[in-house]
Amino acid sequence: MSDESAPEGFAQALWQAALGEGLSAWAELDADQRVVRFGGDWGHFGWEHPQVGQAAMDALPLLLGELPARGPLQGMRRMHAVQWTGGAAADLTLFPLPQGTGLLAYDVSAQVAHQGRMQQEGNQLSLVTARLAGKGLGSALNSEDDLLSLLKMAVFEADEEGRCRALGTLAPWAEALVEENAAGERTLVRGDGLGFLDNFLEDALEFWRAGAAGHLTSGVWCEGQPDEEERCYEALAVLDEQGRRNLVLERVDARFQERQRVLQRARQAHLSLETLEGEVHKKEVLLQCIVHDLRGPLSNMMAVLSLLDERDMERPKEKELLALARRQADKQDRMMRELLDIFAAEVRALQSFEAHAASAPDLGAAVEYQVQHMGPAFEEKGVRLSARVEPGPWPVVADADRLDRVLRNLVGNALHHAPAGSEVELWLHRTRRKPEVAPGGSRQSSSSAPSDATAEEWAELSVLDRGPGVAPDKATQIFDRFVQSGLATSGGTVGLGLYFCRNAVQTWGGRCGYRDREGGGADFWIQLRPAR
Amino acid sequence: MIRKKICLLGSFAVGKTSLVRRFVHSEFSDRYQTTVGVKVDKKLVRVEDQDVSLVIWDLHGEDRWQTVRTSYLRGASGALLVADGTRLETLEVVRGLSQTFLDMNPKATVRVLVNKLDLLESFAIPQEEWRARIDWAPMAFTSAKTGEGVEEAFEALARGGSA
Ligand SMILES: Nc1nc2c(ncn2[C@@H]2O[C@H](COP(=O)(O)OP(=O)(O)O)[C@@H](O)[C@H]2O)c(=O)[nH]1
Ligand SMILES: [Mg+2]
Repeated sequence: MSDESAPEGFAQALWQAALGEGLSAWAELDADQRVVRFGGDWGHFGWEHPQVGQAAMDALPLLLGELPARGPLQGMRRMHAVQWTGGAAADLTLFPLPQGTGLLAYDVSAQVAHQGRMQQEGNQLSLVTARLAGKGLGSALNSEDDLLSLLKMAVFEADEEGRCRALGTLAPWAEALVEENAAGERTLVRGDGLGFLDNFLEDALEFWRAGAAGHLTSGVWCEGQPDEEERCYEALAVLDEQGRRNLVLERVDARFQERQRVLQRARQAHLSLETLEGEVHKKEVLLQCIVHDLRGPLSNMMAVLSLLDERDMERPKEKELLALARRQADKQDRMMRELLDIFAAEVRALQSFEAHAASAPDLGAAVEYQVQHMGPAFEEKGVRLSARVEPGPWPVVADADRLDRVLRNLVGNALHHAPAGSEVELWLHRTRRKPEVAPGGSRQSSSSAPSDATAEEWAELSVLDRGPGVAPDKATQIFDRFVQSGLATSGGTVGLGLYFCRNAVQTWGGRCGYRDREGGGADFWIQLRPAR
Repeated sequence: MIRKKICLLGSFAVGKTSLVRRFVHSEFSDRYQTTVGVKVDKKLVRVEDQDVSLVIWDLHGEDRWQTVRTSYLRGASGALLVADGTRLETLEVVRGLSQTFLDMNPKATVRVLVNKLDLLESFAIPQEEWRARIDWAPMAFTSAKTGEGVEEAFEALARGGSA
């Protein structure tokens, strides 16, 4: 394709813009929709090469209905991923030229194939996810619209101030970006001046003012809340022959196919990770039981052995045997420590949690569940367990399974330290957090109610016992004790539970902490964000 | 209402996106690292009895930071320059970016954050050493994972700088 035969003006700018993406065919039509000039590789799309003077509709029957029989085209038309027998999939754009109509086609087969794959993977993935979340399958199926809307553009014409008026029909995704003014014109919504598009429009105005050829691109930017699919855009400023300032806005999600695929893989890996995590959890419980069961008798044995006095022993053989027994007991104790070390490494590997806001568990229900579930253990020890739950519902940002484990750990911890005849109380209430102004984001409770309307209401669960509490010098470390000392024991149990709690809660954006309970005892608390 | 544009600048994978996510959405996850392009977020904060609307620009592709367009920095009243406590080389990047940013916005405030404080045990150099090396700008330690220091960092910028 030589330079002389390239289209001019706006068409040229677009042509240049499209070159980078593999432009493959173009034509210029006159007011009667006859071919004036053409270029590129028409055969690539399975089309016959047109002839100068031929009616465009004859050369390309698929233009039927898209092109007016005569006269200028109103705005731009785009046909997405059109495919002719034996040819590559094309994005076909028709746009008004001073004396007629321009036509551009470029190869999008790679995108289309990839989108199809992604769609399939995405569907499979959402099916799995939905099943895991216990939701209906119907809601997990994506509509096919997603695929098409990924390939679209919207065109605007700007005035000197950068007000952008929409040209032609807009894709559904672009409708959300415009507002209608009193004159019935649809213009691009401008932000507060500090947003991305506003920033780019400043550059674009500069560019248009300079009257330079070519185009100015904005670079990609993305929008969307954490739980939504990200929308990625790119804007293009071009000046046409008549000095009109054109702004082309494009959804470019498809251009990031490679990275998107990585994302898909990462998600799949995450699912496997979760399965694995479940296995590790089972093993952890098992190990915890084994270690607990083995250590009890062993420490008794060691105590007995230490009471035996070799001086009382008459025969040298006996002394020897006692020494041997002590050595063996020590060795076993050491082996168990080592076992715990390996175990600790696994627990550290579990730190990558995920918060599923969508499947929000109910903290109130989780509390009630613990009361029922742990009831027998409390009864056995002669400790009362009660719950005070303020009116719900209590959806919180957390993972249901792990939330149960967090509560089990906290309640189990309280049971362990509560003296017989005392009471352990679970108190679920709301607390106001002011994340914006709270100095330090400290772990202290912020249950003092600020008048500030920007404060967020979080769920706070206090687990209150009448045990000995935690010594002030230990209070700040209690949640990471396991990590620091490797093997911390308190009355024979491993300080793993609180470490787990802290990790889980922090991953959900929550907090946990300890404070002394009024009147004696411990108050272990967690604060979780409400799920919306 | 006062509006302020804040840019997050720094080497790749230091935790810029995670810091914004922690500050704006109070969450942390390993899942979000695949974001592409520039991401703009907003958050209303209250500073000294005044509402300040922060417009936060999370700039990507900054591992090859020459490609960060300086036009993206225009109009910013502050920048958080993020380094990764476990990777000393991220400090050099921060220093360069600081210059670029201040050239564009001479009156703006910058603040250096040494992130991933929760990984203190794996820090490349001790905290005092970080402090000593970053004597050219106010600095703080943060963890997007635990949230430590994150709110303060953004608030400090909401407070300072010219709008
Ligand atoms: N342990 C820890 N990891 C972090 C922290 N901040 C970010 N990360 C992780 O570092 C990686 C890169 O973070 P990201 O926010 O995407 O970095 P960006 O490229 O600077 O935006 C991700 O895997 C994060 O989970 C932190 O404070 N502590
Ligand atoms: Mg990032």
